[in-house]
This record gives sequence, C-alpha cells and structure tokens, in this order.
Amino acid sequence: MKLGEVSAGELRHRLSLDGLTLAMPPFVVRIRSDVASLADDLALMYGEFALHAADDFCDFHVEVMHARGLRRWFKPLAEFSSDGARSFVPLPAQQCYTMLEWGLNWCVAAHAHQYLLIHAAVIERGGQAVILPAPPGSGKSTLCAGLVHRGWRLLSDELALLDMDSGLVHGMARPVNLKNGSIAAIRDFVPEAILTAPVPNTNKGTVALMQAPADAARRVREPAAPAWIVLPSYRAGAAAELQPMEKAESFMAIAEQSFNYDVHGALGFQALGRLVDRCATYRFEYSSLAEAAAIFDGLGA
Amino acid sequence: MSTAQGRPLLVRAMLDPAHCNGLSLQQWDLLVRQARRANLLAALGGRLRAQGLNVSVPARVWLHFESALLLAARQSASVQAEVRLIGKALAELATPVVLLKGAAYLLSGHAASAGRLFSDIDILVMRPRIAEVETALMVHGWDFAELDDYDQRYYRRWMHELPPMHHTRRGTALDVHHTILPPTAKTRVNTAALFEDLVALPGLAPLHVLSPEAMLLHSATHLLHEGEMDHGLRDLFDLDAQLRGLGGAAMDWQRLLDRARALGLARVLYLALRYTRVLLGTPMPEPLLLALQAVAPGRLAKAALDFAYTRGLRPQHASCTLPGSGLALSGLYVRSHWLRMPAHLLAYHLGRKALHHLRTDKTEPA
Amino acid sequence: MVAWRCAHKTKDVLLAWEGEQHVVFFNPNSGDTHLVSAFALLLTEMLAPEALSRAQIVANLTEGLETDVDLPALLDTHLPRLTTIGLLQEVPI
Repeated sequence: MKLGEVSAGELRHRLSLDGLTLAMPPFVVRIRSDVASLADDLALMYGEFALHAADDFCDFHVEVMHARGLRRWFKPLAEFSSDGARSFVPLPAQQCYTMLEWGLNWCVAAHAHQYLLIHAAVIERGGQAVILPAPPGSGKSTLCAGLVHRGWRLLSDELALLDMDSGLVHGMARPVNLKNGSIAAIRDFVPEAILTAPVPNTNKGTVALMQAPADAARRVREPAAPAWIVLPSYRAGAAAELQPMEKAESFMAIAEQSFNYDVHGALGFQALGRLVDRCATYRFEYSSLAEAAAIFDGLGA
Repeated sequence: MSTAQGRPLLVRAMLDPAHCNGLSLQQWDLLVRQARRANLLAALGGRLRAQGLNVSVPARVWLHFESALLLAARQSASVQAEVRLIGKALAELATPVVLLKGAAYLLSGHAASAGRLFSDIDILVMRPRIAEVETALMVHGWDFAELDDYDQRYYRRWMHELPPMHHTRRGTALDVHHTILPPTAKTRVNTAALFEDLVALPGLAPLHVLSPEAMLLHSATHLLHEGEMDHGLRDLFDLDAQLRGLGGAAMDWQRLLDRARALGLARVLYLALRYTRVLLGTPMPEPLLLALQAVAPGRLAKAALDFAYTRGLRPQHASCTLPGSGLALSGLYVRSHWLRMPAHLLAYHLGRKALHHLRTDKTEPA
Repeated sequence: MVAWRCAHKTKDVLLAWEGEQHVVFFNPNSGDTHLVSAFALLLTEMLAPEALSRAQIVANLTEGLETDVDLPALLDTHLPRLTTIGLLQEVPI
C-alpha cells in the first residue's frame, strides 16, 4: 500500500502510536511523531512511497516529538531523535518537517557506509547521470528542481549513493530543498510543482520542500551510470556556461563533498578515481533556469 | 540481587553470538538499535564474524554491522598513526607516557579493542613533568580548545588532567592526565604505584601501557566513576574481556588483589566484579570475591548502588529501561561528580555548568 | 647530505590525467588525500627507482625542461611540501 492511499486521520493516528514503516529505497525507515502536521507533510511529499509491515527490519528509527515542558503551550518545540537518542537541539515545532528531512540525511550520512556518500544532486536521462557536487551557496538545489521538470529524472537532491563495486549511483527521490529566493524562482519556472508551505526562520532562512516528480518516485530503485560531473555555481546575471574542469580538481571537489570518503581509505580513493575517469567534468555557471535547461539539453547530444 | 529481570537481547547476543541464529527481522531490528545506542554495533559484528555467523545474518541487517566495522577499522588505523606521532613528540622528554583506555587496548592487542569506536586518546604522565609535556605537545602542533578561566581551573586544579587538547592540523583529540582520578576525589589512588610496573610498547618508546592488573583496575575505576552511562555497557564488556584475559576463574587473583590494595582500589574492584558477574556472568575466582567481602559497602549503600548500576549498565535504549531508570541515571551523574569533587565545589560547579549550558544554547541543528 | 626518494608504488597512490596541471595523491599511511602540481608526478617518477640529491635532481631536470625555469626555487617549494605530505621521503646519504 502506498502512503498516499491512507486517510489523513489514519496517518496521524498511526504516526503518533507505533509510527509508520516507510520504504525509502534503498532503506526502510520507521517514523514516529506526535506533531499532527507532519503527517500531512509526509502524505504530500511521499504519497508514491510504499508502506511496509510494522514488524519489518528498519534501517533507521526516527522520531520528531514535541519537547516536554511548559513551552509546549505557547511556543512549542520539537526534537529529532534517531534510535532513541536526541540528535539535534530542539527547534520550533513549525520546522518539524524540515528537521525530519535533515535528520534523515544525517542518518544516511552517518551509517550507510556500504556506499560512498556524496553531498550532491544526481539527475538522469537516457540511462546516464549527472552528478552535481554541492558546496554551500552553489544553487545546486534550484538547478536540480528546475531540470527534473525539463526532461531529467530526479535521483537525489542532497545525497548521492555511489556503489563502489558497480560504479552506479543510487538516489532516494526525496523532496528537493529550496530556500529563500529559489522558492519563487521554481514556482515561476515550474507552476505545476508541488511544494510544502514555506517555513520561515530556519537557520537557512525560509525553506520549502518540493515533491519529487511521480515518475522519479516510481523509478527510485533504478540506479544510473554516471557520465558527467558538473560543479554548479549560481551567479546573478551570469550567462549559462559549461567550462571544462580538470579531472584532478573534480576529484578533490567530490572528495570534499563526500561524507565518508576518508572512511573508505584506499578503496574510496580508487572508486572516486574510476568515477572521475569515466565522467566528463565541468564547472557550470548560471543565473537563468531556462538557459541552464537548454545547456543541459545539449549534454550527450 | 537477582537477574530475574532478564538480560537484554544485546547482552545475550554479545555473550553468545550463536544466540542470533533464527532471530526474526523484528528481533534483528531491536538488536541493531540496542547495539547502536550502546556503542557495541561493531563489537557485536566482530564477534559474529569471528564465529562465521555473519553469513546467516540477513543481508540487509549485515550492512549495518559492516558499516560499523568499517568505521571501527578506520578509527583504529587513525589511532595507531596518532599514537605514533604523540610518541615522537614526547620522545626527548625521556619520561614514560602511558596510554590509557581504548588506545591502550588497541596498542597492546587486547580483545577489548575489537570493534571499538574511539573518540579521544588518553595518556598518563608523571605530575612533575606535566608542564614539559604540555610544552612539547604545543611545539608539535597541539593546542587547547577555547575554555574560560573557570573551566581551565576546573581541569587543572580539581580534575586530573590538562584541559582537552586537539591537534591543530589533524583535528585529533588528546587528553593528558597525571593520575586516573582527580586529587579531590573520595577514592584516593596511589598514583606512584601505577608507574611501578609499566609495560613498554616495543619500538614505540616512550609509550607504555599499564600492567594487565593495573589496566583492569583502571577500567573498573572508570566504570564506577563515570557520570554519563552511554558507554556503561561497553565499559562493562571491556572489564569482562580483561577478566577473561587474565584467566577468568583460573587467574592469579592474589596478584590482582595485591595490586588493588596497593593502589587503593579494593572497594572499586569489589563493585566492578559484582556487576560484571551478575550482569554478564563473567567467570572469576571465588577466593577473590571472598577476600574482597571485607571492603564491600554497607547493606543500604550496596542496595542503592545496585539499583543505580543495574539500570545504568543496560543499553541506553527505550527497550531496556527498567522502572526507575531515569532516576538511576541522574543519580549516577550526581554520584560520579560527587566522587570526583567535594560537595561544596560540586554545587558550585553544577550550578555554573547549568548556567553555561543555557547561555550557549544555540537553535540550529548540530 | 640529504637525498629524496619516493617509497610508494606510484600507480597505487597517484591519479593523473594527460595534460592536466594537477595530480591527486593518496597517502595510505595517514589516509589523507592531496592535490599537488603535475611537477610532483615528474619528481616521483624520477625518485622512485633511486634516491637522488638536490644537485642530481637539478641535473636530471635540466636535460628535460626549458632553461629559463628557476629549478632550484621550484625544488625549494616542492621538496619540503611533498615530504611533509608523505609522497617523498628524506634519506641521509
């Protein structure tokens, strides 16, 4: 059964009791929460994802619960915990869904060392993937959100999971994280995109999450073969342009954006070497999403 | 004290990995969570693998053990490299530098190092040389974290270590001690005696480790004097490994007893043996337990300690809480600080720590 | 007197692509990864079979490089750094 097929009331109820067991391929996650609005956000963002039986093995157990104490009645706080341990400082309950998404990223980054984990967006077309490593402020998410509505399949906005043996990259087709000006930019560029209501005052400013296109969610278990590494950089007023980048520098850019490159030692070094070797590597500057889409259209043409 | 409450799944699995054969997915789910919270996921994975049982673990589940083992292996390599660099930095002082805890287990090839996740490296040096040690470390790139005057004094005068250091380039953490319990603690350790029978690490001068008996006594001290119990169960397993390493029921217990008395740690040993035996069933010599009865705490004190420790030493996971656990854990925190610091200083310190926490409370995720 | 050598099997620790200015070095002992200039590749290939002194390195390089390059200065920059990161080793001779 898909999450989207469960009624809102039923969802809230189950979420607050034993929680929901949700497939987030390649993982299975148990989510519990006593914040009612979280059920609605989950239904909106993960409608296409399947629910599993309550007695299944879960890779991560996460909870977003109201913090105890008097504050609950006038300025409620919520806390994220994983495996029962509180992981972050409590935040205003209004931010509970963004906190859940961050928390899930954290769980994967901290534990899933069967992959080489890279902080990057991944999009795919014709069986070939572009990896977009993401230093802060690169505009990667905005670009990703735009491109997945212009012929590219979303694998990931934040977490690229590289299988070091096969060389293929996996994604989770989870919602794309947009902030501040990007929210309006995407609403403009993709009027049909489904976004959560913007959440103000997070430590990254105002944040909204964009649902992965349904096709991406349905094909989430399909990995892709990396063919391009593109280091994006948003610069106001810049014309969209791809500049070839040295492979040695691309290597370092990816290693710097990797959560667990150093854990894998020599094997990580070799796996990244093979990745960079097989890809065409570029820097990309842009300001207009339409121009960017046109440039990306030309990739592999 | 009975074990009628039953041992948690994690403890049963650690003591007998074959117990995992035929676990349902739901039970594996519980076990992985307990192990993760207790910092024993890699240790359990190692035990399963050592007995060839990893092949019977469902593939999805084994991925978690494998990840933990990978992390542990990486950290172990890091610690080995770091320890060598510490040795080089302090070589010309010609004073023994004693590795403690995790680094000691690792460098002496002790079973307790299997699947261990390390955080800091702890070293022990003789008190008169500590200023030179501090200087030599700073010359080689170590520095102190930013601390205000109060915390600097807390560490130097009242505790038993320099404030925590880190290497400015590598970012690794180092704690330098001159005894194993603070000078203000209620239990007085004969530190000079610790230096009497050190074991040199071949090819790694000036690095040493404590003798096996002293190492065990240090683990016992650490277990009983620590406030935060996140590592309580793991520390208990360390003790179990060390007791078995000394020979279990067949060990030279007289030697262990003599060292305990010489160091002033007989009562600590009594309690540590008590909890390891009851909670893990560790084999140990009866004559040793009988000999230690003389230093057992009074009946009421013993009941209170039992209450606190049987709860505190379970995996810190909701599935393992017994009634009274919250109280037990906060009791341990207060007890541990009480053991370290006289009452009037403790009140001041706890008061100050609470204020500090409120002032620096940020509102962004870690 | 001091000489330098490269103790690593270069194919195991270096990644280089034709025509690029930089090369990636992985130190298996420290686990660190470094981006170094392609000049480092040249040096390691020269110093892998045997240790050479600074004078010998200069002599070898003078044959292959343009003469207006300030070789001693180049070596002064690279040799210490490459030793610190563990690509090269200093050996007394």
